[in-house]
Amino acid sequence: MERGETKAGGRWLFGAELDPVSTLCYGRYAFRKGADRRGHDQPNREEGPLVHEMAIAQSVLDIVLDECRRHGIATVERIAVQVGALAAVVPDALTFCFQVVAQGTPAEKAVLDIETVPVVMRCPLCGELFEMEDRLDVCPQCGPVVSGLSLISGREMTVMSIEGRGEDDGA
Amino acid sequence: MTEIKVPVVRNILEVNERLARENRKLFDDKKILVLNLMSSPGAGKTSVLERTAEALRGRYTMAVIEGDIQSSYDAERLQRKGVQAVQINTDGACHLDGNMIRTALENLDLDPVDVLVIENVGNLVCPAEFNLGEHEKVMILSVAEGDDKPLKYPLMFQISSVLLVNKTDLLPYVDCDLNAIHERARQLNPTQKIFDISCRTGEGLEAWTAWLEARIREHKGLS
Repeated sequence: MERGETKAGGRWLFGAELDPVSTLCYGRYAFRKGADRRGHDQPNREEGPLVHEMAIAQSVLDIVLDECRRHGIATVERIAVQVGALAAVVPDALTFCFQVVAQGTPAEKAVLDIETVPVVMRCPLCGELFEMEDRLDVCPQCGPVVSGLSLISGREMTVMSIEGRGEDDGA
Repeated sequence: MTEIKVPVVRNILEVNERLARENRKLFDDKKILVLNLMSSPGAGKTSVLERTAEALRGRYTMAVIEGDIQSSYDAERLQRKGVQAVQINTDGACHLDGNMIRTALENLDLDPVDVLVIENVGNLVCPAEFNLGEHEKVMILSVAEGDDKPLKYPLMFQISSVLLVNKTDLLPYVDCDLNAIHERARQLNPTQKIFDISCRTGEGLEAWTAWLEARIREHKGLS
Protein backbone atom coordinates (compact mmCIF):
# COMPACT_ATOMS: atom_id res chain seq x y z
CA MET A 1 0.00 0.00 0.00
CA GLU A 2 1.28 3.41 -0.96
CA ARG A 3 0.89 6.45 1.21
CA GLY A 4 1.75 10.06 0.47
CA GLU A 5 0.87 13.70 0.76
CA THR A 6 -1.01 15.72 -1.83
CA LYS A 7 -0.35 19.34 -2.53
CA ALA A 8 -3.48 20.12 -0.54
CA GLY A 9 -1.99 18.36 2.47
CA GLY A 10 -4.43 15.45 2.22
CA ARG A 11 -3.55 11.80 2.47
CA TRP A 12 -3.91 9.12 -0.12
CA LEU A 13 -3.84 5.37 -0.07
CA PHE A 14 -3.62 2.60 -2.69
CA GLY A 15 -3.22 3.20 -6.38
CA ALA A 16 0.57 3.22 -6.74
CA GLU A 17 0.11 3.07 -10.51
CA LEU A 18 -1.94 6.26 -10.55
CA ASP A 19 -1.20 9.86 -9.85
CA PRO A 20 -2.15 10.46 -6.25
CA VAL A 21 -5.68 11.76 -5.96
CA SER A 22 -5.86 15.19 -4.37
CA THR A 23 -7.76 14.66 -1.16
CA LEU A 24 -9.02 17.59 0.86
CA CYS A 25 -9.88 16.68 4.43
CA TYR A 26 -12.30 18.48 6.69
CA GLY A 27 -12.28 18.10 10.46
CA ARG A 28 -15.36 17.73 12.56
CA TYR A 29 -15.19 21.32 13.72
CA ALA A 30 -14.49 22.57 10.24
CA PHE A 31 -17.16 25.21 10.62
CA ARG A 32 -15.74 26.69 13.80
CA LYS A 33 -14.01 30.01 13.24
CA GLY A 34 -10.25 29.79 13.01
CA ALA A 35 -10.18 26.05 12.42
CA ASP A 36 -7.84 24.81 9.72
CA ARG A 37 -10.28 23.50 7.17
CA ARG A 38 -7.70 21.32 5.53
CA GLY A 39 -5.91 19.90 8.53
CA HIS A 40 -6.72 16.46 9.80
CA ASP A 41 -5.41 17.06 13.30
CA GLN A 42 -7.75 19.65 14.66
CA PRO A 43 -8.46 20.17 18.34
CA ASN A 44 -11.69 18.67 19.67
CA ARG A 45 -12.37 16.83 16.47
CA GLU A 46 -13.67 13.82 18.38
CA GLU A 47 -16.35 15.91 20.07
CA GLY A 48 -19.73 17.01 18.88
CA PRO A 49 -22.53 15.56 16.81
CA LEU A 50 -22.04 15.18 13.08
CA VAL A 51 -25.21 16.56 11.66
CA HIS A 52 -25.66 19.46 9.30
CA GLU A 53 -27.43 21.35 12.08
CA MET A 54 -23.88 21.95 13.36
CA ALA A 55 -23.07 23.91 10.22
CA ILE A 56 -26.35 25.79 10.49
CA ALA A 57 -25.76 26.55 14.21
CA GLN A 58 -22.33 27.95 13.35
CA SER A 59 -23.91 30.16 10.68
CA VAL A 60 -26.48 31.43 13.20
CA LEU A 61 -23.66 32.22 15.64
CA ASP A 62 -21.65 34.06 12.96
CA ILE A 63 -24.66 36.29 12.23
CA VAL A 64 -25.38 36.88 15.93
CA LEU A 65 -21.78 37.84 16.76
CA ASP A 66 -21.66 40.15 13.75
CA GLU A 67 -24.84 41.92 14.93
CA CYS A 68 -23.42 42.15 18.49
CA ARG A 69 -20.40 44.05 17.16
CA ARG A 70 -22.58 46.38 15.10
CA HIS A 71 -25.02 47.19 17.90
CA GLY A 72 -22.78 47.04 20.97
CA ILE A 73 -24.41 43.99 22.52
CA ALA A 74 -22.27 42.39 25.26
CA THR A 75 -24.56 39.53 26.31
CA VAL A 76 -27.16 37.90 24.12
CA GLU A 77 -30.30 36.72 25.89
CA ARG A 78 -32.65 35.63 23.14
CA ILE A 79 -32.32 34.86 19.45
CA ALA A 80 -35.47 34.52 17.36
CA VAL A 81 -35.09 32.17 14.40
CA GLN A 82 -37.60 31.11 11.77
CA VAL A 83 -37.23 27.69 10.16
CA GLY A 84 -39.55 26.51 7.40
CA ALA A 85 -41.28 23.16 7.88
CA LEU A 86 -39.79 22.06 4.55
CA ALA A 87 -36.24 22.93 5.60
CA ALA A 88 -34.23 19.87 6.59
CA VAL A 89 -33.66 21.15 10.13
CA VAL A 90 -34.56 19.43 13.39
CA PRO A 91 -35.17 22.18 16.01
CA ASP A 92 -33.87 20.11 18.96
CA ALA A 93 -30.67 19.27 17.07
CA LEU A 94 -30.19 22.94 16.13
CA THR A 95 -30.66 24.01 19.77
CA PHE A 96 -28.16 21.43 20.97
CA CYS A 97 -25.60 22.32 18.30
CA PHE A 98 -25.98 26.02 19.06
CA GLN A 99 -25.19 25.40 22.73
CA VAL A 100 -22.00 23.62 21.65
CA VAL A 101 -20.75 26.24 19.17
CA ALA A 102 -21.74 29.25 21.33
CA GLN A 103 -19.62 28.20 24.32
CA GLY A 104 -17.25 30.98 25.34
CA THR A 105 -19.03 33.63 23.24
CA PRO A 106 -21.42 36.45 24.29
CA ALA A 107 -24.25 34.18 23.08
CA GLU A 108 -23.45 31.19 25.25
CA LYS A 109 -26.46 31.71 27.55
CA ALA A 110 -28.85 32.85 24.86
CA VAL A 111 -32.19 31.13 24.36
CA LEU A 112 -32.68 30.04 20.77
CA ASP A 113 -36.35 30.65 20.04
CA ILE A 114 -37.17 28.59 16.94
CA GLU A 115 -40.45 29.31 15.18
CA THR A 116 -41.53 26.74 12.59
CA VAL A 117 -43.02 28.39 9.50
CA PRO A 118 -45.78 26.31 7.90
CA VAL A 119 -45.66 25.24 4.28
CA VAL A 120 -48.06 27.47 2.34
CA MET A 121 -48.78 26.90 -1.36
CA ARG A 122 -50.67 28.94 -3.93
CA CYS A 123 -52.97 27.07 -6.30
CA PRO A 124 -52.43 28.22 -9.92
CA LEU A 125 -56.10 27.65 -10.85
CA CYS A 126 -58.04 29.47 -8.13
CA GLY A 127 -55.25 31.51 -6.57
CA GLU A 128 -56.12 30.14 -3.13
CA LEU A 129 -53.39 29.96 -0.50
CA PHE A 130 -53.52 26.72 1.44
CA GLU A 131 -51.42 25.19 4.18
CA MET A 132 -49.77 21.90 3.31
CA GLU A 133 -49.42 19.66 6.32
CA ASP A 134 -48.59 16.61 4.24
CA ARG A 135 -46.39 16.97 1.15
CA LEU A 136 -49.08 15.38 -1.00
CA ASP A 137 -51.95 17.61 0.19
CA VAL A 138 -53.97 19.13 -2.67
CA CYS A 139 -55.84 22.42 -3.15
CA PRO A 140 -59.06 22.29 -1.08
CA GLN A 141 -60.97 23.95 -3.95
CA CYS A 142 -59.51 22.34 -7.07
CA GLY A 143 -58.06 19.02 -5.89
CA PRO A 144 -54.82 17.72 -7.46
CA VAL A 145 -53.20 20.22 -9.80
CA VAL A 146 -50.76 18.94 -12.40
CA SER A 147 -48.35 21.83 -12.38
CA GLY A 148 -47.79 25.38 -11.25
CA LEU A 149 -48.24 25.13 -7.49
CA SER A 150 -46.00 27.80 -6.02
CA LEU A 151 -44.36 27.70 -2.64
CA ILE A 152 -45.22 30.81 -0.61
CA SER A 153 -43.46 29.80 2.60
CA GLY A 154 -41.84 26.76 4.19
CA ARG A 155 -38.16 26.79 3.27
CA GLU A 156 -37.06 29.75 5.42
CA MET A 157 -33.94 29.72 7.56
CA THR A 158 -33.76 33.21 9.00
CA VAL A 159 -32.39 34.97 12.07
CA MET A 160 -35.27 37.37 12.85
CA SER A 161 -34.09 39.33 15.91
CA ILE A 162 -31.61 39.39 18.78
CA GLU A 163 -32.19 40.61 22.34
CA GLY A 164 -29.40 41.31 24.78
CA ARG A 165 -27.67 43.78 27.06
CA GLY A 166 -25.32 46.58 26.14
CA GLU A 167 -21.62 46.99 26.75
CA ASP A 168 -22.12 49.82 29.29
CA ASP A 169 -23.58 47.46 31.89
CA GLY A 170 -20.23 46.43 33.28
CA ALA A 171 -19.31 42.87 34.06
CA MET B 1 -28.82 48.60 32.26
CA THR B 2 -29.36 48.84 28.50
CA GLU B 3 -31.69 46.34 26.96
CA ILE B 4 -31.21 46.08 23.25
CA LYS B 5 -33.50 44.41 20.75
CA VAL B 6 -32.23 44.31 17.20
CA PRO B 7 -34.33 43.23 14.23
CA VAL B 8 -32.01 41.21 12.02
CA VAL B 9 -33.78 39.23 9.27
CA ARG B 10 -30.72 37.55 7.75
CA ASN B 11 -30.66 34.26 5.87
CA ILE B 12 -28.84 31.74 8.05
CA LEU B 13 -27.15 30.22 5.00
CA GLU B 14 -26.09 33.63 3.61
CA VAL B 15 -22.38 32.78 3.63
CA ASN B 16 -22.93 29.53 1.75
CA GLU B 17 -25.21 31.30 -0.72
CA ARG B 18 -22.53 33.93 -1.38
CA LEU B 19 -19.85 31.27 -1.93
CA ALA B 20 -22.22 29.36 -4.23
CA ARG B 21 -22.75 32.53 -6.29
CA GLU B 22 -18.98 33.02 -6.55
CA ASN B 23 -18.52 29.41 -7.68
CA ARG B 24 -21.31 29.87 -10.20
CA LYS B 25 -19.66 32.94 -11.66
CA LEU B 26 -16.41 31.01 -12.15
CA PHE B 27 -18.29 28.15 -13.86
CA ASP B 28 -20.13 30.57 -16.14
CA ASP B 29 -16.96 32.49 -17.03
CA LYS B 30 -15.38 29.21 -18.13
CA LYS B 31 -18.62 27.94 -19.76
CA ILE B 32 -18.55 24.76 -17.68
CA LEU B 33 -21.85 23.00 -17.02
CA VAL B 34 -21.96 21.89 -13.38
CA LEU B 35 -24.15 19.14 -11.94
CA ASN B 36 -24.72 18.46 -8.23
CA LEU B 37 -25.28 14.68 -8.10
CA MET B 38 -27.14 13.44 -5.03
CA SER B 39 -28.56 10.13 -3.81
CA SER B 40 -28.54 7.82 -0.83
CA PRO B 41 -25.41 5.67 -0.34
CA GLY B 42 -25.21 2.84 -2.85
CA ALA B 43 -27.75 4.14 -5.37
CA GLY B 44 -25.06 4.21 -8.05
CA LYS B 45 -23.64 7.73 -8.24
CA THR B 46 -20.11 6.62 -9.12
CA SER B 47 -21.36 3.94 -11.54
CA VAL B 48 -23.47 6.54 -13.34
CA LEU B 49 -20.38 8.74 -13.62
CA GLU B 50 -18.25 5.88 -14.97
CA ARG B 51 -20.89 5.12 -17.60
CA THR B 52 -21.36 8.80 -18.43
CA ALA B 53 -17.61 9.32 -18.83
CA GLU B 54 -17.48 6.40 -21.28
CA ALA B 55 -20.35 7.88 -23.29
CA LEU B 56 -18.85 11.37 -23.46
CA ARG B 57 -15.30 10.22 -24.23
CA GLY B 58 -13.74 11.88 -27.23
CA ARG B 59 -16.44 14.55 -27.50
CA TYR B 60 -16.73 16.28 -24.14
CA THR B 61 -14.37 16.45 -21.19
CA MET B 62 -15.77 15.60 -17.79
CA ALA B 63 -14.19 16.30 -14.41
CA VAL B 64 -15.45 15.18 -11.02
CA ILE B 65 -15.35 16.45 -7.45
CA GLU B 66 -15.97 13.46 -5.19
CA GLY B 67 -17.51 14.03 -1.77
CA ASP B 68 -17.25 11.23 0.78
CA ILE B 69 -17.02 10.99 4.52
CA GLN B 70 -13.85 8.92 4.18
CA SER B 71 -11.54 7.39 1.54
CA SER B 72 -10.46 8.36 -1.96
CA TYR B 73 -11.85 5.13 -3.45
CA ASP B 74 -14.41 6.84 -5.69
CA ALA B 75 -12.00 9.42 -7.10
CA GLU B 76 -9.60 6.59 -7.97
CA ARG B 77 -12.40 4.66 -9.72
CA LEU B 78 -12.98 7.66 -11.96
CA GLN B 79 -9.28 8.34 -12.53
CA ARG B 80 -9.06 4.82 -13.90
CA LYS B 81 -11.63 5.90 -16.49
CA GLY B 82 -9.38 8.81 -17.44
CA VAL B 83 -11.48 11.39 -15.62
CA GLN B 84 -9.81 14.25 -13.78
CA ALA B 85 -11.01 13.82 -10.19
CA VAL B 86 -10.42 15.46 -6.83
CA GLN B 87 -11.60 13.92 -3.57
CA ILE B 88 -13.13 15.77 -0.64
CA ASN B 89 -13.25 13.88 2.68
CA THR B 90 -15.76 15.56 4.95
CA ASP B 91 -14.60 13.50 7.95
CA GLY B 92 -18.15 13.00 9.15
CA ALA B 93 -20.06 15.97 7.75
CA CYS B 94 -23.17 14.82 5.89
CA HIS B 95 -23.05 17.22 2.93
CA LEU B 96 -20.74 19.38 0.79
CA ASP B 97 -20.85 23.17 1.05
CA GLY B 98 -19.83 26.07 -1.16
CA ASN B 99 -16.50 26.59 0.56
CA MET B 100 -15.40 22.97 0.14
CA ILE B 101 -16.13 23.26 -3.58
CA ARG B 102 -14.16 26.48 -3.86
CA THR B 103 -11.13 24.78 -2.31
CA ALA B 104 -11.53 21.71 -4.51
CA LEU B 105 -11.60 23.90 -7.63
CA GLU B 106 -8.06 25.05 -6.83
CA ASN B 107 -6.98 21.44 -7.34
CA LEU B 108 -8.55 21.01 -10.78
CA ASP B 109 -7.44 22.18 -14.21
CA LEU B 110 -10.73 23.68 -15.35
CA ASP B 111 -9.65 24.95 -18.79
CA PRO B 112 -10.34 21.75 -20.77
CA VAL B 113 -13.50 20.87 -18.81
CA ASP B 114 -16.94 20.92 -20.46
CA VAL B 115 -18.93 19.36 -17.63
CA LEU B 116 -18.05 19.17 -13.95
CA VAL B 117 -19.98 16.76 -11.76
CA ILE B 118 -19.96 17.23 -8.00
CA GLU B 119 -20.76 13.88 -6.42
CA ASN B 120 -22.28 14.80 -3.08
CA VAL B 121 -22.09 12.74 0.12
CA GLY B 122 -24.58 9.85 -0.02
CA ASN B 123 -27.61 11.25 1.78
CA LEU B 124 -31.14 12.20 0.68
CA VAL B 125 -31.62 14.90 3.34
CA CYS B 126 -28.90 17.43 4.13
CA PRO B 127 -27.34 18.08 0.68
CA ALA B 128 -30.72 19.47 -0.41
CA GLU B 129 -30.15 22.59 1.71
CA PHE B 130 -26.69 23.60 0.48
CA ASN B 131 -26.27 25.17 -2.94
CA LEU B 132 -22.81 24.69 -4.41
CA GLY B 133 -23.13 26.95 -7.47
CA GLU B 134 -24.37 24.15 -9.74
CA HIS B 135 -26.62 24.62 -12.77
CA GLU B 136 -28.59 21.39 -12.30
CA LYS B 137 -29.36 19.23 -9.31
CA VAL B 138 -29.48 15.59 -10.43
CA MET B 139 -30.67 12.87 -8.07
CA ILE B 140 -30.51 9.10 -8.35
CA LEU B 141 -32.96 6.67 -6.78
CA SER B 142 -32.31 2.95 -7.19
CA VAL B 143 -35.34 0.69 -7.44
CA ALA B 144 -34.05 -1.44 -4.55
CA GLU B 145 -34.61 1.52 -2.22
CA GLY B 146 -38.37 1.30 -2.76
CA ASP B 147 -41.10 3.37 -4.39
CA ASP B 148 -41.97 5.13 -1.11
CA LYS B 149 -38.87 7.34 -1.19
CA PRO B 150 -40.55 10.37 -2.84
CA LEU B 151 -42.99 10.38 0.08
CA LYS B 152 -40.23 10.19 2.67
CA TYR B 153 -37.67 12.59 1.17
CA PRO B 154 -39.87 15.09 -0.70
CA LEU B 155 -37.48 18.05 -0.57
CA MET B 156 -34.80 16.21 -2.56
CA PHE B 157 -37.36 15.33 -5.25
CA GLN B 158 -38.75 18.88 -5.29
CA ILE B 159 -35.41 20.59 -5.83
CA SER B 160 -33.84 18.13 -8.32
CA SER B 161 -34.38 18.99 -11.98
CA VAL B 162 -33.41 15.47 -13.08
CA LEU B 163 -34.23 12.07 -11.53
CA LEU B 164 -32.31 8.98 -12.62
CA VAL B 165 -34.09 5.78 -11.55
CA ASN B 166 -31.21 3.30 -11.48
CA LYS B 167 -30.87 -0.50 -11.26
CA THR B 168 -34.00 -1.15 -13.35
CA ASP B 169 -32.48 -4.59 -14.10
CA LEU B 170 -33.41 -5.48 -10.50
CA LEU B 171 -37.15 -4.78 -10.95
CA PRO B 172 -38.10 -8.47 -11.28
CA TYR B 173 -36.45 -9.19 -7.93
CA VAL B 174 -37.61 -6.32 -5.72
CA ASP B 175 -41.00 -5.07 -4.54
CA CYS B 176 -40.89 -1.73 -6.28
CA ASP B 177 -43.50 -0.18 -8.56
CA LEU B 178 -41.69 1.94 -11.15
CA ASN B 179 -44.91 3.75 -12.10
CA ALA B 180 -45.46 4.71 -8.47
CA ILE B 181 -42.00 6.33 -8.38
CA HIS B 182 -42.84 8.31 -11.51
CA GLU B 183 -46.27 9.39 -10.27
CA ARG B 184 -45.07 10.42 -6.82
CA ALA B 185 -42.06 12.28 -8.21
CA ARG B 186 -44.23 14.12 -10.73
CA GLN B 187 -46.68 15.13 -8.06
CA LEU B 188 -43.82 16.68 -6.05
CA ASN B 189 -42.04 18.17 -9.05
CA PRO B 190 -44.08 18.29 -12.28
CA THR B 191 -41.18 19.59 -14.39
CA GLN B 192 -38.62 17.01 -13.28
CA LYS B 193 -37.01 15.02 -16.11
CA ILE B 194 -37.00 11.29 -15.32
CA PHE B 195 -34.73 8.68 -16.92
CA ASP B 196 -35.01 4.97 -16.07
CA ILE B 197 -31.54 3.45 -16.33
CA SER B 198 -29.46 0.42 -15.51
CA CYS B 199 -25.73 1.01 -15.16
CA ARG B 200 -25.33 -2.77 -15.14
CA THR B 201 -26.99 -3.50 -18.51
CA GLY B 202 -26.65 -0.02 -20.02
CA GLU B 203 -30.40 0.16 -20.65
CA GLY B 204 -31.76 3.70 -20.77
CA LEU B 205 -28.34 5.36 -20.48
CA GLU B 206 -28.45 6.71 -24.04
CA ALA B 207 -31.44 8.93 -23.28
CA TRP B 208 -29.67 10.34 -20.21
CA THR B 209 -26.39 11.02 -21.97
CA ALA B 210 -28.22 12.52 -24.96
CA TRP B 211 -29.98 14.93 -22.58
CA LEU B 212 -26.65 15.76 -20.90
CA GLU B 213 -24.86 16.38 -24.21
CA ALA B 214 -27.68 18.65 -25.38
CA ARG B 215 -27.47 20.52 -22.07
CA ILE B 216 -23.68 20.92 -22.42
CA ARG B 217 -24.11 22.32 -25.95
CA GLU B 218 -26.87 24.65 -24.77
CA HIS B 219 -24.66 25.89 -21.94
CA LYS B 220 -21.81 26.60 -24.34
CA GLY B 221 -24.21 28.53 -26.54
CA LEU B 222 -23.79 26.02 -29.40
CA SER B 223 -27.45 25.24 -29.84
